[in-house]
Amino acid sequence: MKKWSWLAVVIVGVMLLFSGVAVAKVSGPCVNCHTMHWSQHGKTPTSSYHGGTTIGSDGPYETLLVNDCAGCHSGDSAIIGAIPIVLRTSAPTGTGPGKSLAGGDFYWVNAGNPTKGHDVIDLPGITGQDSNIGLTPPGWDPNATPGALGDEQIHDGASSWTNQLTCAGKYGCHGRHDETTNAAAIAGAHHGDDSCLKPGSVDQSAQGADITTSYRWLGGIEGIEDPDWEWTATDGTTDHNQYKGVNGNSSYGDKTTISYLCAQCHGYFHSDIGSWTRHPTDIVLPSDTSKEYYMYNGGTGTDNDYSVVAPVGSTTFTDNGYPEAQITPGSTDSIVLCISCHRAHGTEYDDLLRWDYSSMVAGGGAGNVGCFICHTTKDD
Amino acid sequence: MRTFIYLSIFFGLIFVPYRVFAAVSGPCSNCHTMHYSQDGQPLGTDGPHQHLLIEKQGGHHSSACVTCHSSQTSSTYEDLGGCKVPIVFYYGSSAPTEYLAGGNFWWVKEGLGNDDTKGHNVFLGEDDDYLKDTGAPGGSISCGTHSCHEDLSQPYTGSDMVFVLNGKYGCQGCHLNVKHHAKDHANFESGLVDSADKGWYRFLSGHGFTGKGVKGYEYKDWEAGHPNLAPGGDAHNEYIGDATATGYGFQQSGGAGDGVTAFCTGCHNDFCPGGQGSSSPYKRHPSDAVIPNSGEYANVGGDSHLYDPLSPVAKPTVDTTPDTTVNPGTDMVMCLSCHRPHASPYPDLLRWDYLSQQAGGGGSDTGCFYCHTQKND
Repeated sequence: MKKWSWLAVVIVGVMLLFSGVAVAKVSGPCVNCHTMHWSQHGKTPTSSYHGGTTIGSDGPYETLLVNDCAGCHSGDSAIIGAIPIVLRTSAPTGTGPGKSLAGGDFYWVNAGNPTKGHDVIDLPGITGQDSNIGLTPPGWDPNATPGALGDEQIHDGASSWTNQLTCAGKYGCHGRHDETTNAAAIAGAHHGDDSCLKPGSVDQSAQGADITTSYRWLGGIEGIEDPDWEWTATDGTTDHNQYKGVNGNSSYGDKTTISYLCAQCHGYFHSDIGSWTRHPTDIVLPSDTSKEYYMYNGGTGTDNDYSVVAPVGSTTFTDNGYPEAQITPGSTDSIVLCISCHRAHGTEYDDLLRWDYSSMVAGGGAGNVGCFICHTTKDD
Repeated sequence: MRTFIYLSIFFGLIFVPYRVFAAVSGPCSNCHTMHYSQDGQPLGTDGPHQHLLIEKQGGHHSSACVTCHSSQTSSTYEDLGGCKVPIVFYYGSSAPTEYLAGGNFWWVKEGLGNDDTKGHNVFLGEDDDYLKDTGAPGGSISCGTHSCHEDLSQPYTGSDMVFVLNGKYGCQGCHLNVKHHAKDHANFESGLVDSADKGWYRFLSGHGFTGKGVKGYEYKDWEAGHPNLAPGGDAHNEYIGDATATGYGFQQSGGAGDGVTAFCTGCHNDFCPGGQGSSSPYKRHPSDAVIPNSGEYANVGGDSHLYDPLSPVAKPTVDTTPDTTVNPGTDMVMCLSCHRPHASPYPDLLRWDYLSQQAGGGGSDTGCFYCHTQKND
């Protein structure tokens, strides 16, 4: 290879080194997560041998893991090493930046409050179905799936569910829905190259091709993944997730939006919105200055600060770009989403809401909080 | 005329060289002594030994096997009166820098490496500190007292299992039916060993009632030079695997074929194909499983698929021509792909240090990354 070719390689290598591109594929000692035979000195593997990782009690686990999903993704702080924690072992002070990750936390539902989170059977504190709603998700429309990957219908499209919600797979949110175990559903994702989802290396055309390249391993869903899962996130900056949304999606025509992900189980809440017989999703915030929405998050109607409390979605992402710091109501960067109001895993509030709905008082003068981040005049 | 014919036959038998098919060759007195007595005195300190074996000069006298297969000066092989003897226990004061395919017991020997995690505890009375209450990891068989399934450091007492096992321990715990004079191939030559008459590969066999043993191609110098053997050569053993195997040992629960996986799982039962899960995602690392010709595994051995003696694979069939390449889609990962059966420098008898394997750590595609070629990227 000629000298100048080697020089080019070095230059590109150095550029990549300092580019700040964060790929989420895991790194570090294999021993932290994997054990070959589920045996250490003839007994169950020990935490001390495995880099301090908590060892599960139900092994051996698929893909030679030392623990299951909840086992690895639970702990006493929001991020342990490079592992996002979705189930805190002690009560978080709330949800949102500095308190939980973007998806919220399973703490409250795991502690026995079924209205405050998804009742995932894989959680250690969940022993049976949701006592209020049973097994079938509210708003379940069997015709909402399969998703963009064409990976079979969730729960085989049954009219009523007979299996409880899992982290992933046929009865879960993450991974492929044609797999029945969590590990098989997300196979390859932890070690895959997901740079197309990362700020600075975004490539929307490559997103959603498989589980690895799908936003948060939600099959076919597009987005930009904040490197620290919004543990730090601030209004009016690029430091947050960027969710995919489209203006009008009532018939599940676009299966790449985050709201479509929710619709896979809660379809009627997405499709049967009529003339706002249900709260709209996958719809743009109106820019009409005669209405209240143009003042989203206390803005003026142009370049309003993005709200990490009540996020909105974007239809397109700039190649190698970053999340939006400002959005303009009426544009395709101001899409109302399911997760504008909810957190996917759980919160301290009923219905997995981002705020306490019962404290939202029309005319109460609350200011730019909760519902009133969009409904800017209803607290007046 | 008749006299001429008779003389021709006679002198032909004497002077025409013919091949000696035996694992050992050379003067009988190199290895045997009839009465363990010389000049009215015992010929050594620890005998007499089974099979009239001597205590080799320079050998470690911990057992009849070890005395010949040990050395303080060589960690690969020695010449014993014209017969090459593989050294599996080097007992110099510092760790050996090169060894045979099976590794070297230096690392597990008390007073030397002294690490029970690094080898099979074959020395009498040197019990494994970690396995006293559990027996062979993954094992569930218990028969007699101090069966080899439970420990290798104490003599067995119990039923014979056809191989006259009473009193046996250590080396004989695995090499159940040693046949130094078997008709396999000449000493220091290579050959296919695939039957009881030939002594089975490296004298590894099941209990007599199975009638089975390990088949394989024995390389002439026992792959001397590990861990520094270059990939892409044909100077190596060849191992057999059975991708259809489901059980453990040679015949339990459907058996595990006729390769080293069958042999290893005879003691390490749960680690057999049946205990791994039927397919990906496996619950235990697969063995006798075909390396897929897809994904990261398609690049096993690099662009040229070079066979690497550091990470050997099993073949569905073996012959007398070792492959220089590894074939994804056909060749199999096996127990010995990652472990050395005697002892190694690393915990769990591994061929490399598992603790240093880093996902995303870059570096060469060796160790775990010989097969998992993208996980270090």
